[in-house]
Parts: sequence; structure tokens; C-alpha cells
Amino acid sequence: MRIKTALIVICFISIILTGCDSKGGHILNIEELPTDHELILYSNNEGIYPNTDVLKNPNNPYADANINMESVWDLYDECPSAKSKYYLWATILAKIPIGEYQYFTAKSLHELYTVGGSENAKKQAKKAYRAVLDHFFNSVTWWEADWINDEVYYSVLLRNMVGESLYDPSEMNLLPLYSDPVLALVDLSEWGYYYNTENCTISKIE
Amino acid sequence: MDRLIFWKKTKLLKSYLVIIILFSFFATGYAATQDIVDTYYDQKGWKLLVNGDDYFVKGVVWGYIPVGENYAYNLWAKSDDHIKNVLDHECNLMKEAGVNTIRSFGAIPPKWVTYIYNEYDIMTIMNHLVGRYGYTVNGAWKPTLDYSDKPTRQVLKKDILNFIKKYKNTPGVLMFALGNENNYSLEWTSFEIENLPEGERYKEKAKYLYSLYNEIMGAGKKIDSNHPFAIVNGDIQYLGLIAKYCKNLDILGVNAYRGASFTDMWERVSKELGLPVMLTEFGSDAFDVLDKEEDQTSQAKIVKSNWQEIYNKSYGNGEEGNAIGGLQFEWRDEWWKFKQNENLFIHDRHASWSNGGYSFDFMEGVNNMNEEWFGICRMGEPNEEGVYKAEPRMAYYVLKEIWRINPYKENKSRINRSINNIEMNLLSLKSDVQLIKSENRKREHIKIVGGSLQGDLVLNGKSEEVENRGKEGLEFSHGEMIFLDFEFQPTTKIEGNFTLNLLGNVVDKQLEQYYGKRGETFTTVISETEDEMEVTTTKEIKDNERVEIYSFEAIYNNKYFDLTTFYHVPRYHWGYDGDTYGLLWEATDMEGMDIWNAKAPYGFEFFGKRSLKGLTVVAGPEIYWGANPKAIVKYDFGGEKYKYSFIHSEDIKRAGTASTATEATNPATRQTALSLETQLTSGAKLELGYLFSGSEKIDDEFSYVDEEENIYLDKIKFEDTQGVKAKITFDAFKIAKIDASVNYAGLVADAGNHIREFDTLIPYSSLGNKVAFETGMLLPMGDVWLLPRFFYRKNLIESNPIIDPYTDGTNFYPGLTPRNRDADPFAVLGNREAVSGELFVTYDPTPATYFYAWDNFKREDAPFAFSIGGNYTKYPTTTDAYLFYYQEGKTNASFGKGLPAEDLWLAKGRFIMNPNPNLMVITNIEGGKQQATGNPDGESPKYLSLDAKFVINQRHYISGYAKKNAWGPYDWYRQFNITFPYQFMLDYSLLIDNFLDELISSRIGFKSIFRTLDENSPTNEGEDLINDYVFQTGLYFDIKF
Repeated sequence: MRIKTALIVICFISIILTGCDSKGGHILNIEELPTDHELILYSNNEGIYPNTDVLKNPNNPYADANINMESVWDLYDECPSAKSKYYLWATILAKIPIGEYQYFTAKSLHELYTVGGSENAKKQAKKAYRAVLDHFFNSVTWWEADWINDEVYYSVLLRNMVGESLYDPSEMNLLPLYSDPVLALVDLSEWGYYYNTENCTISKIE
Repeated sequence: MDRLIFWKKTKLLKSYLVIIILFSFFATGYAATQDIVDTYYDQKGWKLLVNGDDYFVKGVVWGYIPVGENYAYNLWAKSDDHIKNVLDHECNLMKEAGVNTIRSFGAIPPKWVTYIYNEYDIMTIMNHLVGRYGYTVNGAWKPTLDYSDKPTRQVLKKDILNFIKKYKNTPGVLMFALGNENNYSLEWTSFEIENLPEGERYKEKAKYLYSLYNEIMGAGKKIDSNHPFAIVNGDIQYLGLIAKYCKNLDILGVNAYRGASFTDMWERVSKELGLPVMLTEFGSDAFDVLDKEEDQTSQAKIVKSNWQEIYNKSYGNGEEGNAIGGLQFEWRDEWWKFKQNENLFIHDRHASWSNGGYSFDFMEGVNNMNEEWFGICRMGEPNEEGVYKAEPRMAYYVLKEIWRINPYKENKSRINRSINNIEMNLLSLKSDVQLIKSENRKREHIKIVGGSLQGDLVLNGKSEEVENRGKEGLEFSHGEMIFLDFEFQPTTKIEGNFTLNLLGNVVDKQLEQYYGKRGETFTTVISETEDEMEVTTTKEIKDNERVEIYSFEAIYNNKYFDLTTFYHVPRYHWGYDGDTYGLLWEATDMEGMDIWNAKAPYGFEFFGKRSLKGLTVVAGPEIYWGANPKAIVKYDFGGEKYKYSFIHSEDIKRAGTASTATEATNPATRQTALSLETQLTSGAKLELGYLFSGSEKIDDEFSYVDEEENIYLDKIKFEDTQGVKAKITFDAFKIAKIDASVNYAGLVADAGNHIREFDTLIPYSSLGNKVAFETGMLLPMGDVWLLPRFFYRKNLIESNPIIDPYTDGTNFYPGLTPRNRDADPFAVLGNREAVSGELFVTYDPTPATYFYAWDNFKREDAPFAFSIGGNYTKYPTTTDAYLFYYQEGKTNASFGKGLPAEDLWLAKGRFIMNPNPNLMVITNIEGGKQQATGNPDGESPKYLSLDAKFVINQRHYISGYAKKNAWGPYDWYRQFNITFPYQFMLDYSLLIDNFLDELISSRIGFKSIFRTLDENSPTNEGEDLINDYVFQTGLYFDIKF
């Protein structure tokens, strides 16, 4: 009986001793930001609400980062490439799903296509723009009224910006996603939306 | 035989004395108030004499415990009117049958002993149990008594002699009896005795028991020489010891369950003891476990056979002549006996032990003794006075016939002829007809057995609406629903029940969560995939699920196992059955689940018997509230000395949705535990546990930070899944009970629920990543208990701080966020570092109604009892981020930040008063500073709460609360840190039937809730928030049928 008791006590102490020092691993303070133009998706709907797979994508440098509504703009300003912008916006979209982040995710994909010609980015950009319309139809972003000295902002409907991005993105220095702008209107129509090219507004087809 | 001759002479002398004394009384015109009872012996055998007359004990073991109550029920604490109503009902029936004696486990107060005697000629055996079910010795409650312990013997002797003094002059007392099968509970340990072989060990212990009996009887006779003394022995075990050590014994009381015959009992007692025998308990249950139905005929046959034998063995029949009668066990069924604290409203059909003497339903390896079915009367409905009627079974009528016979006036052949001539078939038919009449139904495969109709009329109001629009600003709504209860028994081996819920209109109670909201009109989002994209549309759903199965349970009984399927019926944890780590959580908060329309627990249980004994499997979609679909296997093995339990829990997948915001879903996991429980030679109890948990997380990555804010990335290793714990419980100084434990759990070694005893406020956690130490004490000082407790817990890895990310344009410094249990393999939450201490003081002068029992609110019968104390907990570190369940998105979401380091305290008191039998007052006071359980924003509130309940005449229930700066009434208010400046509630209900039980009675009533609002209150309950208020008031009814 004493041997049995001793064995049990030894097992207990062993487990505690082996487990008590749980710290190890390696220091992880720096992630290199991507500057290439190749888009490798973790899943087909990465970057498209409500999918959050971008957080699992091993290529995403921001996946485990503490990105929030305050820090995201500073990080955006310092982004060295369209690809890093995409990961940034898709990451915060996965964490805080609002229309503004979905739009900027779409726009960064569009930019990635513009600078690198990634067909993957082009296809994904269309999906991301559509997600703005489907899920965040009334969402806005805020533009600075730079003609006023004080910091004053006014709201702009994201859906109209989506219309412009799809129909004629030249003003934004982006390549068109469609060979013919009419094809953009066709797609929008199939999705249930109408883009008025005269006043550049989008409405739902009733 | 010398002894017998001596006894004979003494008895004869005493008999003469009795006659002289009686004559003296009558001669002086004084009506005798005290009876003189004695035993008598001559060559023909033994008799009992009361005031010189032959007295054959035709008795029953009597107790009155209504449906819904258990052993803690105290009839004598009720009003005199109610007691009288009960006694009149019971004794009228008894007298009609010819009962002349009762024995009761609870001491009947003297005035009622006399009442029963004067009104019904029924005498009472005053039975002190001599600590059979535990006793308070020098202020400490001992569940099992050590009869060799001097202080124990002194206390028992002193108390029992006081008991004798109290009753010695009480008219109606037949005799004093000691114990109730105490020879079956000789379980205490001591160094000397434990070294003996088991048989000898118990024999040695029995000597102490019988010598104590003898001491008490000897001293008792000096106090009261007019009543004989008996002991209540378990069968005739230790007969030799009784003969040797109980020289003062007058009558041997025997509890014997030997079936139709007592076999050699009479002969052995005659030869080895030479005293009269009174059967203090014997009988048969009236339930056939094989046919799964009531069997009053088999019961009656055994009862008849038993009494025929008692008559034959009585004085003057040429046999042993030592039978002086018996007490049939028992008068009426008791619905609390199986499991004792559970299913108190159900007449349980489970058999709890096996006895081959009862051949009508005996099968090897199958329990056949149904504890709740031993009555010669069954439990009926309450009558107009609120007394549960006793409905005679066939055994009652058989006894009525037998007890017409006076064994001392009839000779043996006439006795036997009379008993043999009892028309059993006629009585069986009569009883069956009565049974059918009483139940008003025949046996059916499926039948409605009850239900309830519930309704509400509610007014909701908000300050702004009311002030601006007056009455127009009030919102009125009404709601109705019906519950229908069904039972079914398609075959003898399958039985079950289910309840249907039918919704009428759904009431709108804006300040409450409640069952039935599933029927509200709501808008849902429908997702579809189109062109590889998820497209959502909305749809309005009306008349949703107007009819649903509320609960369901079915049991299949087999020789080798019981198989139970369950759906939303209460189920208990295994914490006292080897589940050291609490892997199976309790699921008894049905009301808490109902308000969220949760359907747990849902699954099946396999319970092994015979060769599969010890094996239990529970599996299902949600076997406790919030569980993932899982299976748990438990195997108990080992012996009495070392009890082992092996448990494996395997989640099959992650639960799809959660029912409340407080219940974030958890990733699928698995746990394996091994536990050992043993009693050390010192008497201390040692519990050891080993845990292997979360192996699926091995190689999962997690991050942490060092003191220089270097961020590390690491992986979960095998040792992070390991846990061990040890707990020792021991008595100190013969008074205090002390426990001490250590619990180590690796980073992902999450366990289950920790059982909370004595309402402790220690911040236990099921999560791993900790080393915890705890010690506590139960220090009884008379009726006062002191309960100090100390707890310390340290994390193996602390929570992650918030470190902002930054970039230099080329590299990214990712910063760090608090972990959460979805994104990380573990998180520091409730398992955070803590130093916690508390002290509670409990005063309860009536320990039989255990103060910490879950249903003490209805059972406590002390004039005044309370518990008061407080807890102070220091949390020196922050937590990681809690999760909540975002119902609209059907996904978990993180609060993003952790709770801050903080020192918290809580003081609380519970006071129960029973100033008179018609009034009960329960009050709870609580105040303190506590933290939210999720949302880190906002300050931790300092709050005060008072609630009270008044129960008047068992019929009027008035309850209410007042709270200042407290969270709202549901968990999520605390989770999201939502408080109200003031909250008030008042509820009055009137029970309108005779059950007089708040859990089962029909009722009507009204309820009002009022809350003031500020910036910490929920935005949907007010507009301006500041100096705003909301209220809800309404009438309700709940009619049971």
C-alpha cells in the first residue's frame, strides 16, 4: 500500500513540476509587411462579410494584431503596398464588421489589381463591392471638408462610391474591373441594384 | 430459565402493585392520566399489560409527510388546527381498522400523544433514534456516531433521559423504544477496531451500542418505572450481544423483512434472549417491479401471512409464545423515500434494494423493494382541510379483519380459522374497484395526468410615454398558455411522460424574460448562396411553434441496464458519485432555461446493472445547458475502501447556437479524468483526481508577453493538458471539520463545474491555467456554525495586456490584445489570480431542516435561523477578454478588453423566521462591490439589495425586492454591466387549492416591477435615460388540473 501511495504522490508532483514552467516559445515582435502583388486566399470568400477566414490566413501579418478603430487609420497611412492594405482592412472587417471596412477592403483589392494585375484580386474586389451593397447598403464614410479650416467631416454614401468604382474608377486612379462599363451595370442589375450614371447614385431595384 | 423465573416473580409482584395503585386512584376519585404498562410472563408465554389488562400490539408505523415534502417535514410546527385535522383524518381510519398502537420516527409532542389516546384509544411508542441518522454532539453534527466515544455516549444518554422525563407522565405512552436498526450503521473508525477482521470489527462496535442502550435503559427505569423499554434492532443480528449487554431490556423490537414468514426468529429469540418480541417494522411494498404496476394483492397476502404467524406465536398457543404484536410498516406511502431530495412530487417506481423473501416480484439481480410503496394506504389528494387523504389498500382491509381477533380470547384453531376464512378475493376486488374509482381511470397505454392553464394581463409603461400621452402611453397585452402532462407505458418495460405546451396569445412583458416568447412575431434573416456569394433577405415569421413538446422522458428497464431518454427534464451532477472534476454539469434550473427557450438537458443515459454495474453513459445534443453535443462515459470500480471513477467526456462537435448572450459557444473538446476516494485510518477522507483535458489543442499557438513587453509565440504542449488535484477532509478536536485542497491545471486543462457548499462565494473556475490552494473549516458551536474559508490561485501564464501595434512602413509591430477563448487555446478569465477569504456565521437551532438545502426556503422550521457573512477577494491582475454570444449574427463576439485588477467584497445575510405556525418570513440582504462578468467598460457597481418573502397561512405569498445601483435580474445584465439606480418588485399570490404548496398549487396573483434609469441602464428601456423610469404591472393566474 505504501508503494502504491508513493507512486501516486510521485505522479502528482511530476505533473505539477513539468507543467509549472509553461513559458517557452520564441519572441515575435516584428512582421514584415508584404509588398508583392500576388493574392493567395485562405478561402473563396476571404475578405467578404461575414467570412472571417482572413484571420486564419498565415500570410496575413495583421491576423493576431491588436487593430482597432483608432489604430487602423495610422496603420493604413503607413502601409507600403496594396496587398498590406487589403490584409489590414479585411482584418478589421473580420473583427468589426461595418460597411466602411468592407468598402476599403474592396478598394484595396481593386488597387491590388490595378498595380499588379492580379485576376484573383479583381474577382474578389467585385465580390467585396457587392457585399457593401448587400450588407451595408446605407453605410457611409466620412470625408474631410478641406475647404474649411477646422476639421470638419461630411458623410458620403458608400453605395454610390461602389457604383463609381465599378462603373468608372478612372477618377480614383484605378483600373476598370470590367472591359466595358455596361457590363458593370449588368452585374449590378443582376445583384438587384440600379446605378444612375447621371447622378452617380445607386438604388435597389424594387 | 432462572432469569425467566425471576422475571415472572417480579412481573407478578408488579402486577399486584399496579392493581393497588389503580385502585388507589379510583378510590380517591382521581381519573388516571398515566398508564402503567408492563410485560407478563408465565409458562404459556409473554403478554403486554396496560393497567393490568392484556394488550396485543396491533400497530402501524405512522408518519405524515405530504407530497412535495421529505424527511425534514415537521407536522408539529404547523398550526394546531392543521395538526388536529391531520390526526383526525388519520386516526379515524386507523381506529376503524382496529389499530391500537403507533410508532413514529419523529417525536410526537406530549399533548398530541394524549390527544390521539384520549380521542382514539391509540397508544404511542416513544422512539428515540439514538443518533441513527446523525446527531449533534457538543455542537458538532456527526452524520455517523461513534458509540465508543465517551462524549457521544454522555450526550445521547443525557438527551434520552430528558426525553423520558418529558414523556413519562404523558397519557398515551405505551413504552419507550431506542434506536432504529442502529446495528446496521456501525461505520465509525478507530485505530483499535480497524485492525480486526470486518466481521469482528462490527461485533466489537456493536458491543458499544448495546452497552449504551443498557446504560440508558437502566437510568431510564429509575426515572420511569411505569413503562417498559424496548430496542429497535435490525432483524435479530447480534442476539447474543443483546442478551449479554442489554440486561435492562424488557422487549426486543425487531425490524424484519423476511417475506411471508419470520422463519426461525421466534425460536432463536426464545432460546437466546428469553424476552418478548414486538415486530417494530415489517411488511411488503405494493408494487410489482416485473409488471411495473401496483400490486396490492401480493402485499396483502404477505401482510396476512405475517400477522397469522404473529398471532400463532403469541401467548397461549403452544408455540414460543413470545409475540406481543407488531407494527405494520407502514401506514401510508411516502413519496420522498427514493432519492429523498428529488422527485418529491412523483410516486417513484424505482426499487432501491433486493429481497428474495418477496417472491411475487423477485428476480435475481433486480431490485424489487419499492420504498415509496410500503403503505397499507396510498397517498390520495388533499381534502378540504388540506390534509392528504389516506386511501386504504387491500392490506388495510385484511388487517381490519385480522385485528378483530383478540389472540388472548380465542384459541389457536379459531384464530387460524378466522384468518384463513378472510375473503381475500372479495377484498382484492373491493380494493381494485376502489383504486379504479380513486384514479377514475383504467390502465391505459397513454393518458393525460394533469396540466395547467396560465395567463397574464400586463401593462407596460415608460415615463416619457406616460407623461406625454397619459393613459394612451400605456401598452396593454395579454397572454395565455396551456401545459398538458401525459404519461405512457406501452409495455411493462417502457414507461415515460411528456408535457405539451400550447400557446395562445403571447404576452408582452417588457421588463422580464419568460417562457413562450417563441410565439412572438419576429423578423429573421435568411441567407442564401448566389454566385458563390452569401445573399441575405429578411422575412417576418408569425405564429411560430404554437405547440411544442415542453419536456419528455422515457425509461426502458432491462435486466442489465436502464436506458433513459430525456428532453428538458431536470438532471443532476455526479459530483458526489466520483466526478471529482465536475465534468457533468447539473441541469436543474428549468425556469432559467425556459426564459431563453433553451431545451437542455437533451440526450439519453445508459445505467448498467448486474455485470454492467458501475458503467454509466450519458450522451446527446445538449446533456446540460450550454453543452456541445457530447458523450460522457463513467465507470466506477474498486471497493468500499478505495473507490475509483474513470470518466471520459468527448465533444462530438461544437454547438451550433447558444440560447443566451451569457452563453458563448465553446469549441469541441475532450476530457478524461480519474478519481480516487478513500478513508484513511485516521478517519480523514482523501480525494485525488487526475485530469487530461483539451488534447485537441496541442500545437495550437498562443502569445504572451514578458516584463520587457517582448511578445512570445508558443505552442500548447502535452503537459499543458494535464491536471491533478487533492483534497483532504478531517475532523479536528472532535468538533471542527477541516478541508484542504490543492488543484493544479495546465494551460488548457479545463475541468467542469465546481460544487459550491455552504453557499460559499469563493471565485472557483472550471478553467485550467492555474495552481490553486484552498482551506476551510466548519466549526459548530452549539446551534451556531462558523464557516471560515481561504483561497489562493495563481495563473501559470497571465493575461495579455493591450499593446498598440505600429509600423515603420516596412515592418509591422503587431502589438498584443487580450486573448479570447475562440481565437486562442486558452484565456485568463474566471480563473484569474485571486486571493479570497470569507467568514460566514450560521445559526440554525433545527438542524434536521438543513439550512443550506436547496429547498430550505420551504422546509426551515426554526423560529429564527440565519446565515450572515462576507467575502473579500483581491484580483491583482487583469483578465483576458470575455466572449458573448451575438444572437443576431449567431456567433461569438469578444468584449475586446479584459476586466481590470480590482479588490471586491460582498456581504450578505439570509434570515428565516417562523414566529408562529401561520407565518414564515424569509429575507435576503446583500451589498458589496462586484465586477461585471464580461464588459470591462464602466465602474464596478457598489450595490445594495433586499428581498423578502412572507408566507401567511401557507396560502398567501407576498414577495418583493428593492435594489439600489444593482444589475438587472438576469445574468446578461451583469455580463454587460447594466445597472439601474433603483429596482422594485412586488408579487402577491393566493393559492386557491388545498395542496398548499407553492410549487404545485393553483394560484392567482399580481406582480409589479418598477425601475429607474440612468446612463448605465439599457437604452431600449428608456429615452432620456436620466431621471427616467419604466414599469410593468399585471395580473396572472396558474390553474393546475
